[in-house]
Amino acid sequence: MLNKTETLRIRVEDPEHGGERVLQSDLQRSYAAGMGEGIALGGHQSHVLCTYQIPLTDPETIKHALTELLRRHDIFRTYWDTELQPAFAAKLEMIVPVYSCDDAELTQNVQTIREEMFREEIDVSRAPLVRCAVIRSSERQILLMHESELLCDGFSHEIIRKDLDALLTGNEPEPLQCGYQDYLKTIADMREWGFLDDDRAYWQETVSDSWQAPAFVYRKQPELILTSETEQITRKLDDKTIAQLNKIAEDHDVTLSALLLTVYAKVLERYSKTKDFVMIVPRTARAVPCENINDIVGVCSDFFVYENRKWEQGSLLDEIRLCRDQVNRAISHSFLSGMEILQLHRQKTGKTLPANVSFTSTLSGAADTAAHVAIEAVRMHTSQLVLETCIVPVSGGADICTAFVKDALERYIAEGILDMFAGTVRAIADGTHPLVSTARFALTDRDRAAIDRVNTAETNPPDYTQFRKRFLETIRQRGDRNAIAFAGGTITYRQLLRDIGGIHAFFSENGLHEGDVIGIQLPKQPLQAELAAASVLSGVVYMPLEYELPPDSAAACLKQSGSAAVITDRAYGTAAAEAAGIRTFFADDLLAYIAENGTEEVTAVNDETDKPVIIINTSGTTGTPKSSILLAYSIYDCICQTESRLGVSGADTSIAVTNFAHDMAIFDHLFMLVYGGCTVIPDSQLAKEPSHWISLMKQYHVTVWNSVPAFHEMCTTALQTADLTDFQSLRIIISGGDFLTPRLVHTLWKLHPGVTIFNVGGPSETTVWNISHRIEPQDAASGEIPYGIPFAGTGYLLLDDNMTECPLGSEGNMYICGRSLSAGYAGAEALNRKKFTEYFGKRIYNTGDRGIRRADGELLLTGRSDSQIKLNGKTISLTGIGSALRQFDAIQDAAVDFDADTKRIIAYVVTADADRKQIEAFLRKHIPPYQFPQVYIHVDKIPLTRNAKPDQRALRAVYQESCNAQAAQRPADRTEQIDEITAFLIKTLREIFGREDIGADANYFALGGDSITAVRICAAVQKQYGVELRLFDLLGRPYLSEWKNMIAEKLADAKKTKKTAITVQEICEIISDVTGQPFAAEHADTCLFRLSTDLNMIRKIAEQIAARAAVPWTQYDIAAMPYPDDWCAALERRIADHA
Amino acid sequence: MKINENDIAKILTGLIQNLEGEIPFDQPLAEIGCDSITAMKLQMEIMKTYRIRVTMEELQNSTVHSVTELVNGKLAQKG
Repeated sequence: MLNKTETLRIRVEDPEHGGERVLQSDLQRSYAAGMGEGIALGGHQSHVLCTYQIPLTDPETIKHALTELLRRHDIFRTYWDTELQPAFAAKLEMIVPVYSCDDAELTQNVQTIREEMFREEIDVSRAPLVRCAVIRSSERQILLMHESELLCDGFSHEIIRKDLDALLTGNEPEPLQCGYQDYLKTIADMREWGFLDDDRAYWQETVSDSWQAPAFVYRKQPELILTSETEQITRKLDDKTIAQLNKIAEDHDVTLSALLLTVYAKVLERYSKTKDFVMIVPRTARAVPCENINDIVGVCSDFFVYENRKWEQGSLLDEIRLCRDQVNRAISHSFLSGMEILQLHRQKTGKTLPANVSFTSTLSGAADTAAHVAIEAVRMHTSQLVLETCIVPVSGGADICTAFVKDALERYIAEGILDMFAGTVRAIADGTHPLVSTARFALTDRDRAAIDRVNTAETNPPDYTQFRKRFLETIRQRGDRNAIAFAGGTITYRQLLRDIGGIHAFFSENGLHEGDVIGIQLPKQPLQAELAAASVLSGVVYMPLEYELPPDSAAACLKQSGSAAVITDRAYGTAAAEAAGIRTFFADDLLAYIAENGTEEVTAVNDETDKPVIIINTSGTTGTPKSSILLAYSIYDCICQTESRLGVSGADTSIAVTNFAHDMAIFDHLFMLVYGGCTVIPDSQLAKEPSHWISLMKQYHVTVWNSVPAFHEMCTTALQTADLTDFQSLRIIISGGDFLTPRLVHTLWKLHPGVTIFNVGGPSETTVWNISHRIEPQDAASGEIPYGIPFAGTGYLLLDDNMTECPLGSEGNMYICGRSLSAGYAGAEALNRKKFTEYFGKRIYNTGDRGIRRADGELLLTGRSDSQIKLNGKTISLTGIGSALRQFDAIQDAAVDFDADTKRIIAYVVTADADRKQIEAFLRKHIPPYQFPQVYIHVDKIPLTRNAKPDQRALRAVYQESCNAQAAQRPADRTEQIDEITAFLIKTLREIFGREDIGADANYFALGGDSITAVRICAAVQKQYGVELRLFDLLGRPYLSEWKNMIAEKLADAKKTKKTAITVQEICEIISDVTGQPFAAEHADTCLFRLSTDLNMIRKIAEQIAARAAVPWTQYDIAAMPYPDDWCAALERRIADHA
Repeated sequence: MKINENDIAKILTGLIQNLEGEIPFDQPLAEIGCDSITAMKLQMEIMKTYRIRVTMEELQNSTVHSVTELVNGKLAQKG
């Protein structure tokens, strides 16, 4: 039970100095400014609440002690007036409530009152800027003191503690020789002596353009945070640890503060995306401009800027010495305050430096064990810093307090930083991390456990020797169930088995055996899935190749993989195979062979788990794809884990919308058959038409839809106007290969309520996919879709540039190890050595992705560390495009960049005469069309950095200039005549791309158009004109003028058709009207004379049909052709003849 | 203006507590009890007294003699 027993009214008066304006430090000025509106994280006061344990004195003694405390330190007389300028108050008043409670409840009550007090704003216009409360029990007494940070900073608590100690025990405190104003006055004097100019010169030299704030993985960027709610975490260091640290620092001739600051900076380095960063450090050890400076409350109301240098390979001790020297230099030039240093930085670089982290250590010497007053805890609220860490001496040791802005940082990141710091400091104290060792701070136990938990191999991996046995058994067992479906029909498992038998015979007859590689380069068709199945069972290594791959690139793939033959169609021809020096088989020959030689007598080769099964070609930096070899056990592992984790089974039907050469397509054309399910193959001509996919999904009751998000998006756009009544079967959506946005997730759920969506991932070098996340509503709500948790047996490592494991919440380069790893690239030993390396005995693959790991172990993708980009689900190497461009004789030099906002690939080319068409004609031989740049900018030379790499910053400036020039050419200035269709298309494109500079000469790809936006355009055209444009039509003709012609043609056709065509339904309606008897369309195959022999009536029917179809049609025609369902075709012919 | 070793020793005497006997002019300051805080105070005293600044780096591994020479050098430079 908490009782308020009395109220202490504390008064101090000094009428002589009332209202007098006084000096303030720069930090006070900054805190005052920060309380104003519109300042980042601002509008809030920084404040501190200190909990002191005091002797069990009577309230009067406490009153006396607090009165004396306020009287002694002039800082308590300061208030900030309405202009936020400090002045001295003539009168100080403070009301201090005194509470009492039982011993058992004291701790809880202290906490409750502390939190209540902490939430109260301190009125800065009334001195003192401090509030107190006392809580007592029969055994202990606690004084809570809540101060605005305008008053003071960490160090002052120790001064207050000492003063209270003396005042509460009836002793005289040490006399003060100067006050806070004296101190500020001394600083001002020293500045006048000219030292300030020297320091300004020093900092002018030191301030660097490369200074930046530590960049954490923020929840919300600090500049976007308008309200601040601070959380605090505290860890303890005991007296023994502090004593050991002091001893170690002394032994190594360094200061304890330098040691702690170095460790803290190096911990932040592990967490920050920027390794070279600055933070602010309050000057607890600043130069002393007057006597007894250490007795002034508010002494550290200033800071310097500390620059963390990227970790070199030296020892921790080396780092501490560098830190000490840097601090000494800063202190030697401390007449320029931290605020002025930041201003200088802004003047010099033109950039505002968000100095968002501060670190203070106020540990000094041994603890005062004879003290009667002890600091128990400190609670901080920081309003202008994202992260503030302060080491405060408390009873029995020290508290390391970390306050952080809740909206900016995840709690687990702040906890990780604090735990790594505290853990390292303790390890240094107990000697397990000697200062002389090459320092790599160990991960915290929490982080280690979380990482190991998700990367640990399961105890029962699948029995890899059963892969092909299971596959063949499934095919046999499924018999007459559909294995493959397509627009024109289905292939049952029995038929599949027979076809596989035929393919095996074909292989055998042509000398293709286990271990031989066969390239398959075909447009989308069922044969591809059959070839995949047959290859796997026969041991022939299956290598799908993009049908769009230019012959040169295809030949390179065939060569480097050591392919024995390629199966393609006659349209593609033999160029690639001839260049590779291998045989070509044509699909039609193979199909004819299968038809003749198909057999159900199929055997599978023995499962040798480490043999290659599939080769997948991925985008390469040289313009040539890399051939990644996937092994049997990796593939079977993925099959089994997809089955168990994603819940796919033999009862499912999937649709194979993904390009067959993409590794995600292996799921559709192999995994589904291993499960005994059905895979639906779109028609090759309509393979990119969402309307076709939807029609197939409805027709075959598709349950699983696996594709890149771009395809989901295309489909959802089309689905929004489609009839979904017959489309309720979908139960699983698998999305991979690119970022899945929360917006798309919402749309998918809206269209398919109850569907389970999985985000999957894993580069082609690690077998189809090896990481997944089942998306929950909270993921979509949080705006953060996790990449997932690795499959059992696969490990994802996040390593920094020093190959040190990243803690939870810090961004690193993503490496993969474990069972899913490819055997490497075929025919690329040097590249294999570079990309597949070792890490503590594990073979690892550098994915080039960057990511972070959350506290729950889920990984998040954050971007790429190389020049690869993801565009519509395809990984594209910008270096590869640059390399292809430079091979063109007419181009002297080239560089390639990507505009992530408009999703356009930009090529900067140095060329005298080559235009876009010529360049693209050349590129067509080297890279697939989806890799073509959308923008070409002609430059005199490629600007280079000091390291002789293309200067991206300078290139982007050129690009921006080009964009501005385009924008300046307003459409209104153009004199062209614009027809209605063109005007509509321009309007639609402007809306879609958010650009006003689009005119009638627009090139869709140059605008950054892709298949997703094309679907939107198709939908808009259909809505406006009722004309159906196919995606293929749009993407095949990128110029707006071509679209206009296409639409005009279709409109003309439609108009003509509408005037003349007649449907069976319409014929039946006419017959019903004339005869007065219902004549349904299903009776259209009935002879009309069985209905009536009345010639007048027959004539009347003929006349009405002639009028409707606008061509001659008489009773004689009906007599010659009495079945109404024949009339449509006849009328069409007549219309054509008539035309 | 020129100072001698006694001037620096006098400042140090005021700054270092429990100093026994005379300050040796050629012994490193760290060995006679001049820790980093004391070095900062010395730096400030020199600043206040002679209106010149010696840096913390210059004071590292210094002796009374070397500090005296340092101060004299800076005073001469200042003219």
